Amino acid sequence: MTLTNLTRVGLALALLAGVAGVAGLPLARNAMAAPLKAVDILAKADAIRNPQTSFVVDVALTAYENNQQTDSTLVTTHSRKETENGQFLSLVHIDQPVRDEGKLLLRNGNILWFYDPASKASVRLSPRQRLLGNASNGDVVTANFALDYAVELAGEEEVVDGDRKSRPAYRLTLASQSEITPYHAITLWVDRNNHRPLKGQFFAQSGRLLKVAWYRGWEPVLGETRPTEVIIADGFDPKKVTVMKMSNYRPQDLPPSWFSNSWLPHFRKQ
Amino acid sequence: MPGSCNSLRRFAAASVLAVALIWSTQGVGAQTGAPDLPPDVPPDLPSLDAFPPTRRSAPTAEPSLPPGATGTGATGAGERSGGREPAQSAGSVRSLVPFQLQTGTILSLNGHRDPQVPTGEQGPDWTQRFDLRMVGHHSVSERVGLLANLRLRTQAKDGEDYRFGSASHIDLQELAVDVKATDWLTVEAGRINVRNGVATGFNPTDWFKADSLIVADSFDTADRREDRLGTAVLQGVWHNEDAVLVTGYRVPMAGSTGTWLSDRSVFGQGFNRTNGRSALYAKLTPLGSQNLSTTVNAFYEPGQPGVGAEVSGAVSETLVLFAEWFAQHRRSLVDESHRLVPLPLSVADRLGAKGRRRLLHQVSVGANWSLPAEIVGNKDVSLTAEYHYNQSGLSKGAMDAWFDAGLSGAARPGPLWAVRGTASRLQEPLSQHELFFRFAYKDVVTDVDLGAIAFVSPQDGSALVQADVDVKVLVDGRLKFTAFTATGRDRSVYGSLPSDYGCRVSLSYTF
Repeated sequence: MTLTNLTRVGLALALLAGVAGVAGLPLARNAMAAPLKAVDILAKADAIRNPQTSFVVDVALTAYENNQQTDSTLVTTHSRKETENGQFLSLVHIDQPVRDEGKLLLRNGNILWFYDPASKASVRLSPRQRLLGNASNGDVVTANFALDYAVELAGEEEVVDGDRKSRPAYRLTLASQSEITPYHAITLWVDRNNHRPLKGQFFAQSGRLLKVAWYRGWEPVLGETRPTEVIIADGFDPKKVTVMKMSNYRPQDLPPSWFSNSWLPHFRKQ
Repeated sequence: MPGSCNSLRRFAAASVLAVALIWSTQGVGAQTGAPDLPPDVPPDLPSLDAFPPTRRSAPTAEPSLPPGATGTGATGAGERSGGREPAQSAGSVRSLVPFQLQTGTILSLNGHRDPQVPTGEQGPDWTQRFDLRMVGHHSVSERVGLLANLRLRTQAKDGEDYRFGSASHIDLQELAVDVKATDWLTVEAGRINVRNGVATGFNPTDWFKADSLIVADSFDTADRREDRLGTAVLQGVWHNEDAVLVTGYRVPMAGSTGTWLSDRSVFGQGFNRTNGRSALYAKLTPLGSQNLSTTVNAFYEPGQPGVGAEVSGAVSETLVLFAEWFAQHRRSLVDESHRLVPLPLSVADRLGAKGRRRLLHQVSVGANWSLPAEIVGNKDVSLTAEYHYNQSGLSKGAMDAWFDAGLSGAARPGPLWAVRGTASRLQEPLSQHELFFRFAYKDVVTDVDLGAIAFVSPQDGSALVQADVDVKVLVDGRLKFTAFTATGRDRSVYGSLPSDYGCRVSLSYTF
């Protein structure tokens, strides 16, 4: 039961591609402890990153190393927004490569399951294993910052965005408030003019930079202009880069029972 | 073939050494030499002017980012954009058939030992098999789907003349139809690989594993699940906002053991093995928790009812604990074997036979630890440890009695080995206590995975160890090398196995 490198990365990336945007509601919990302005900025940035409804999206991932393409993966991400807490449940279906077609990754809070149709086996994964693969890209776009991090406005400065343009930005520092967050800290740059997320740095507890992400490809998606591309550089090896492209967003009602490991053998891609 | 065996032993040893070298040079140690922090600007690659260089130098390569940030990627709801590109070139083949086509070959080399309790005829020193498989799910309509997993296999082995007709077999591992009856009910009918369990080395709640294995290319339970026959069932999957409930009926098909039902011909499908008796089953998984996963189940076969449960939860970012339990009114391994291949009564008694069914428990408890980034950086390295308790297996005293009976001649080897064969047939641990370990290191170098498993008997310290290297070949191919050895004293669970060591090389490709 193996997955190619990028497939694992792709699963992780796509798994929570629709999660970050849920941050708006939970952010209110931090409002008492953090400066209101920083909270508001992060809330707006998170709400821009993803639709605030249940949806399905196609995700294409391409990996590069030393200027050479090394892998590519297509997946379909199914995300259900929970009305109670604003959290998303996610289910990722691998479309290509053909060898991995039909494999699934399920995330429901800290519950992570990997399902292989060849063996009909579901394997429970640790939260860290959402960082599958060499780039560990999953949490760059999937971490629920607002639920798990305290936010502060560290300053305002110019930052180079994903299009290599300098833009005025808020610099937000996010500190982990949970033992199970994959990153100890995050630095997030948000466009001062329109609150779009521009860039993020993600750090381990040791202070080491794990990865850097840039958001770009701004397109109208489900009522909002959102980033449809994320470029992610590996903090351990900056020559390793993964590009994630989202397309064909479609809102869809997704039953909660689909996000159970017992449903995985019966799941059919939408 | 002592000469070739020695060569094979050296080859296996060299392979293990090579794996260790790769591990030491590419693994955790490599993290200490990780590069400095990347520059705090977009890296060169994503530059819109230069990205992607591959596309310019290799027009046939996968297209990627267009030379501009806008106009790419997603669009509005329901609009199919051009941003989704094929990941590989096999799409044309895939479009011709609704299922995956897989082809593969595997060469197995085996080294044997002469166990203290003789087994009679040894297995072949080598086998070579070729597989052609059609597998997948096809949606016939919005509500109806078709599940298929069919394989043609043909095998040559040491000591036998190869004849296609007698050396080939068609396996109907799965063939079923599913119908979405309502938004909350799906009905499935046909031969389905119904599988339960959260553990990775032994699944007590996996009701239908007995007699299901077609071939055994690996000692890894995870691999073996891919080579088992499904069970002919009619089952319903009910789900609402609170739970998922699976209920089913195993159809009895052993009344007539014709060539289609049995394994007696190229086309025999072994329904007599997988569907010997009728059975009812149910599995309930409540929803709601964002950490604990819990499933309770019940199984009823005439005279052999059982109940079970499984639970798993993350206790930290890197650690998952899990447990699985099943209690069933059934025969022990010795009783089951003794019923079919009788032992002398005195020997059967010393091995713990009771001559009746009783309530027996099986448990798997374990932990999966994913090594943290502080240790392995961005590598995916994990360790799994499990303890298996099989009340129906042999205690240490019974195991000693097994050896004593074999060495003293109190029982013939055939009935004695039938006990161990029963454990293998039912896919259960032979001894009552067993430890299981799994090590997995994904992408030790690009597209190369390392893995190892070990079954250890805490009763005598013997072990069965298997290591493998899995390499991606082209886009959808895999080359896998596996080596194994059984170690321990002559009078031990694994040291007494007739298989001493061996290796396997497999090559597969999916279209």
